[in-house]
Amino acid sequence: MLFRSLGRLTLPKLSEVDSSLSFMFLPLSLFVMLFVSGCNVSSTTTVTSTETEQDLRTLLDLPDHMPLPAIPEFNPLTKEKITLGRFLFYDKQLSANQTQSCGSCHFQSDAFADGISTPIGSTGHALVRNSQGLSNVAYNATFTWSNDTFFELEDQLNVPIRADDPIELGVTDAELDTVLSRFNNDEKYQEMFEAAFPDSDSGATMNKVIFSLASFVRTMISAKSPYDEYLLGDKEALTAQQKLGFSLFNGEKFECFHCHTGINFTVSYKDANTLNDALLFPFFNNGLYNVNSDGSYPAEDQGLFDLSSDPTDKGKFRPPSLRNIEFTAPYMHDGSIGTLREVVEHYARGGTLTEYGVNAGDGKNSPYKSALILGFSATDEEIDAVVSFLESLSDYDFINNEKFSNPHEEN
Amino acid sequence: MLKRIKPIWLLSLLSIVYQPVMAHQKVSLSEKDSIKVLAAITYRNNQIVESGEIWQPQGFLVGGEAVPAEDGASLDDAQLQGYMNLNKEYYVAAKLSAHSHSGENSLELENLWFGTEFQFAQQMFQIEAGKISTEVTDTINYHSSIDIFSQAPLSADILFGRHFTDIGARFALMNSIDQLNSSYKLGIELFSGDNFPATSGDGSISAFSHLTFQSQSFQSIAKLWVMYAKAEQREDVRYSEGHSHGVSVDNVVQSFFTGDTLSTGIYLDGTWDYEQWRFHGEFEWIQAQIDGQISTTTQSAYMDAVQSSYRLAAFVEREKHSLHLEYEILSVDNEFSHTTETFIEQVGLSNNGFEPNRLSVGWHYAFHPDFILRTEWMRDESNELSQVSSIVSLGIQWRYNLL
Ligand code: HEC
Ligand code: HEC
Repeated sequence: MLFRSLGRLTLPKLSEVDSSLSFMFLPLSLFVMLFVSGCNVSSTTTVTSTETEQDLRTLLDLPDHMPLPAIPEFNPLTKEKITLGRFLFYDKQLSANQTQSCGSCHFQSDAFADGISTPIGSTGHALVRNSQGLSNVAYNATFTWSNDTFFELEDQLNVPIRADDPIELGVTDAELDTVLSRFNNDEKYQEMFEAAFPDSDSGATMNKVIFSLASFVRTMISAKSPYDEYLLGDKEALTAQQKLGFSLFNGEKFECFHCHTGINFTVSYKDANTLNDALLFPFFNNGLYNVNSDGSYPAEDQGLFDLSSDPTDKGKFRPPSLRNIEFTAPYMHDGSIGTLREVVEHYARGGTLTEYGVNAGDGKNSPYKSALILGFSATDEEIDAVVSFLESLSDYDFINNEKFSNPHEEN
Repeated sequence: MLKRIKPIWLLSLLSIVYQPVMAHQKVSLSEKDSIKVLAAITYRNNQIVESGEIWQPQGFLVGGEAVPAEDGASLDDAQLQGYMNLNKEYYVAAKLSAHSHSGENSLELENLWFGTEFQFAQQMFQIEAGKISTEVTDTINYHSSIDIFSQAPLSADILFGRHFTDIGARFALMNSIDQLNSSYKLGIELFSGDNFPATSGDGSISAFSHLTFQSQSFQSIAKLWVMYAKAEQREDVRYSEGHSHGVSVDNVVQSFFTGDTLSTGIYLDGTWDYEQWRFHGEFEWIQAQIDGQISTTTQSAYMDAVQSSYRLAAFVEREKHSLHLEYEILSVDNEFSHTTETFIEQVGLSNNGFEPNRLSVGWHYAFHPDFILRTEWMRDESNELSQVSSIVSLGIQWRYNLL
């Protein structure tokens, strides 16, 4: 239609038409009329999703505003695996000496952290790191406080179950068969393993245990906090103080958003749509220590440095998600900061000062501290506002949701 | 919907363009050396968005230098244009321009290029290279000191980030068909990609055909063109100074676009002289087909969008006075996948039922050979639905030939 009208307008014969008026008016206005009436001048926006995506959303019970987490192809999510994973998560039979389960260090009421600085494993080994909360773990780009080789939950979950230094659940090679036979000899578990892995008749294996636990942990999605309500358009969901805190959090003075941004409040983020080459694996030194004033962290845990031996990696940790942060005190990789207010004060100071002891030093002056942690002067009101905003990320549905509760207690 | 389009009928009946009072700097080998200065100063009683707020037409990806004018007096644009003909072998042309926004002035060597013309196989060819503007349509070479209205057309702002300038080259075939009183120019352009919607180094390429018909009292121009632009992690840097780029309470989240934009345009005009009168009408349609990915530091989405703009303009001129009208309306069809509606809202790309539109009316009075007094009224609804601003402005355009 377009080209025809254009052709008509510029047809050479028309040059002989003496009335230039008719030349001008007729085709042009005809053209314009045809064109504009033929085209619907109206704006639309559609967000489409495939059936597979929708099925996955249903399975995860994913609120609409949450992006689809990346589920590895080798371990597709199923209801049966999720159920089995939930039973295993809370089952002390999963530790060699049957004293601990995952739930011993990951309490639902604490958003799956445990309320203490550093936990003790099943055989009494003290761990050096703080138990992490498990809200929205499925969106992390890497796992644990600081490890740039754990890209999938399935990689990481070997550690609490199988590791011997420090021992958590203590299912070492020597204990493996004993532990698995507990499930193989239990009729209920037999059924659950069969339902979760219908194509395999080998009974319980460590792989199946890990795949099921990973599936369960992936369903631990927290997206019903006041902040989410606010995001979804309820402008009253945040108090005025929280709104102020939010803009401070995202402002150039506090700079929090550089590391704690996006739907999960961390730049260490991945979802089903993240392209591999766009993946970021960020780790930062946020100025918690400066042992010997040479940028070191306490010897028992120097973050990424312990894996890479590169001095510039000293004290580098993954910025954690801040969802449900109110429930996961104490804070930082070693649980060394007790309250959210102290965390914000740590940032305001530009680092933490350790006055005495073997770890003495001023984190503020660490040569490896991120350039985004410069310190700033903030009023008490401003600090309170940021803390109050952080508390708006508390999701009471998450910590009370039966889906994530201990299934053994129900019977 | 229909109600909103109605003014178009009126305009299309009025339909008749104009040979811009001061033409865009288009040159050929047949010209004499020249140096011109041009400037536009305008006072406005209002602005499209409040000071400190961001102009972000909902649902559109914007960038470049598309920042609406603020209220008060401003030096919209000042230019020094030079042309030097070197022995009729080749020419050099340049444009130095100054803009002021937010009280800041910037001086820029906007264009500097070399060109030549030659005959081959009985056809006339032109080659130009350097820092050039595009020739696909003058709409996207907007300058307040040259163009009719004191603010850039919405289509130029939204689809091309205001005015086009880039390092590149143009190759064109030009000829006239005397028995038909017509001439045409067919060309291709290649750019490095500095201009929105491309990103530096990723390039854009265009092809155009311009057809001019002229009789004693009537002239008409038809232009048909396409431009393909590639972008890699394109960021909207229009307001990059002094704003927080996080998710601040009500602001749009900073996002990046990677993908292709295929723009197509049709331009038609007609000018008719009758005794002391001159009538002009023009119609322009530009469509951008966008295909790519939009991402923030964390999330992303696939984007498949069609942005369309319609522009109608007309004027009537009699001796020193002219009366100008322009109506523009844009629409977008955005389709996203692998994402959530919330994310699309956060990046400002959700638009259902909002069509940025603007009606401008202007009266020009050329009270002196070098000066034009420009009075305008503009009704703008380009930022978001129902946010209508009405702006009255008064200013002058000045042009002086130093050589
Ligand atoms: C003895 C306490 C303890 C037990 C038992 C335990 N965890 Fe943990 N969990 C931790 C600690 C401490 C970390 C942080 C580890 C690190 O950073 O190296 C952690 C980290 C994690 C993470 C990583 C979270 C993230 O955001 O990257 C997941 C997932 C996890 N645990 C799940 C489990 C599961 C499933 C089990 C049961 C198989 C389990 N944990 C058993 C203490 C424990
Ligand atoms: C340079 C990146 C960066 C910036 C900027 C930053 N953080 Fe952090 N944040 C981290 C890292 C890394 C950790 C973990 C450090 C550790 O465990 O040693 C962390 C830990 C935290 C924790 C404790 C999380 C937990 O689970 O224990 C809170 C709360 C927190 N940050 C809040 C903030 C606030 C509020 C701001 C702004 C004032 C901020 N962060 C700015 C990187 C950053």
